[in-house]
Amino acid sequence: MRAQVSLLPNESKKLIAKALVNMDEVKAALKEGIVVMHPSSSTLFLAEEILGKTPGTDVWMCGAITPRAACGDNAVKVWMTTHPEARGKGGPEAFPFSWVIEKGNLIQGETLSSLFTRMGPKDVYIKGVNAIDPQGKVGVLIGNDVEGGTIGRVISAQREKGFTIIYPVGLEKLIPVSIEEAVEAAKYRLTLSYSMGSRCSLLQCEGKVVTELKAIEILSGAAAIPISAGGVDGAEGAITLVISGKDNQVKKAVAYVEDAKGAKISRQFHQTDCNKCNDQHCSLRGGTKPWLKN
Amino acid sequence: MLAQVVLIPTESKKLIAKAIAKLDVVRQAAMDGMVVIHPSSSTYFIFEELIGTKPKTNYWVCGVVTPRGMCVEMAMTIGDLSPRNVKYDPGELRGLWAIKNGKVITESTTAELMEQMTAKDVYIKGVNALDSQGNVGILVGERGGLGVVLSAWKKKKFTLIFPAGLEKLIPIPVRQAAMEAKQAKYEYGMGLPAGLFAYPDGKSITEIDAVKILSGAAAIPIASGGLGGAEGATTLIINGTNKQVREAIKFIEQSKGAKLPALRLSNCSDCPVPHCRFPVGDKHWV
Repeated sequence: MRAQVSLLPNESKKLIAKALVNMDEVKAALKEGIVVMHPSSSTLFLAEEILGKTPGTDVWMCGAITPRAACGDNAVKVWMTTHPEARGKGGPEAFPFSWVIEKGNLIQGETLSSLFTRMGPKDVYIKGVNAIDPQGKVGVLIGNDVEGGTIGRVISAQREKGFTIIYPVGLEKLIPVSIEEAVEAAKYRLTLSYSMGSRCSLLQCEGKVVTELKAIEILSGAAAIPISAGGVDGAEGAITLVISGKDNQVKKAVAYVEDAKGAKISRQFHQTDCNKCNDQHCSLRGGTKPWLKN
Repeated sequence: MLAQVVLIPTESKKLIAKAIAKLDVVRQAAMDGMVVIHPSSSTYFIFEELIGTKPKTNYWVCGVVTPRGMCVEMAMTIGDLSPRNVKYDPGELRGLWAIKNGKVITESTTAELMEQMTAKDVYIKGVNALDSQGNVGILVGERGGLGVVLSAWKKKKFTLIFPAGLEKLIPIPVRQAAMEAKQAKYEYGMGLPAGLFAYPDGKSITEIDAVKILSGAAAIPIASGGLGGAEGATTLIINGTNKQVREAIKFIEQSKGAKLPALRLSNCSDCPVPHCRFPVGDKHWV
């Protein structure tokens, strides 16, 4: 049987979240360990799948590409600028906004350094990314040394502690060049003369990568092939897939896809007003550009 | 000089349009020959850049991927020029935008325009898939003029140009995707099922090419996607001399905030399109 489906980026995030909770590593960690998530739109859907409800948190994402720029959430900016422990080299370890699922409960407020002391091979860390290349390698934008620096510390800790890192990533994030080439192009973030938003570098990240294609395989056993991308009128960033396999596999995949259709992010993004933003390096600071008034 | 910029898909279309309108082959054809443009979200701004006004036809886009699934704009199903009001023959379809000797022609059929095309002329069409090698593919429904255009191109070898924002990237070769996308064999779809046709030739113009054409600077994509209306966005590092990068930023800032006309879709329950095999009107997401 063959089916053709289109998924918007948020719908893809929901589908991928459904697949993540069906992964053996995640199931085992939910049962006998901890699942740690970096707040993001991708992990918000996962938290909702696990908890059955929207997590009640002040911070549901940290940085994001928005129509105006690479920008951060107000709450994280406030924490980074008002908490002494966030400054200096210890900043990433002091990051307190991770979501931790332990014994079915959501725990918040535990610092990364505290989590690292108790994470081990049975545990899982999950983080959304900003780029995937055609070879399936992924990268994360680093817009600051504190919140942005967390993934580097997580990767270092993983080598020592042996927990699993999983990166959910929709094909909306596909770039045409290798992650290595993109990392090289973005490595001089502090010398950028012009920047729409935070000056970002890109960090290549190693771990398990789950796209819509992998999600469909995990959920149904069917194969998914991307045949086109993009759309209009709210379908920007969409991916169109052909799903093939046995009748029961494809029907199962379609059921999951239909369940994911219509998915919306359940939280609002609190973007800083460009007129009030203190980011010295953002070329949009002051909000004088005409497109910021649209 | 280095710069970091973010473009959402509609803004990319505007930037790419500025670059295509600057190409010698396009300018020459618009003044002394013919540029034929297939109406679409990717070509809307090209017309505007070449003529200085928005297209004045009822067709600004034909087939579309929408949040509900694959669909067609309402102009394709109603009105005097609708294919539904003429005996179906892809060559007899009207709706292509043509610029001949600097003047706009919108009433000619596809067959009439293709008959007039010569090797000096240009055909511009948006695409639905782009691979990392720059190959492009278009989704093909059960009606359309692709065969008529290709047949004319094989004989006359006019220039094919495909504006293609990086939003359209797929992770596998377009040819491989086209092999999988045989629309007649679907047993489930979301709206109009479509096959994918891999174009054998032609030049795709992405944001990377556009920055190069407009300024001489290099653009390297470092991330994709976004939130709150930035879905499908591309984040680029622009690298070059001060003059080049400033020129690139100028064009990019001119493209920021670009908007397309509203999309008009029929309710599935009222839709007259006879070949929609998988209407989604009863689905919860519509």
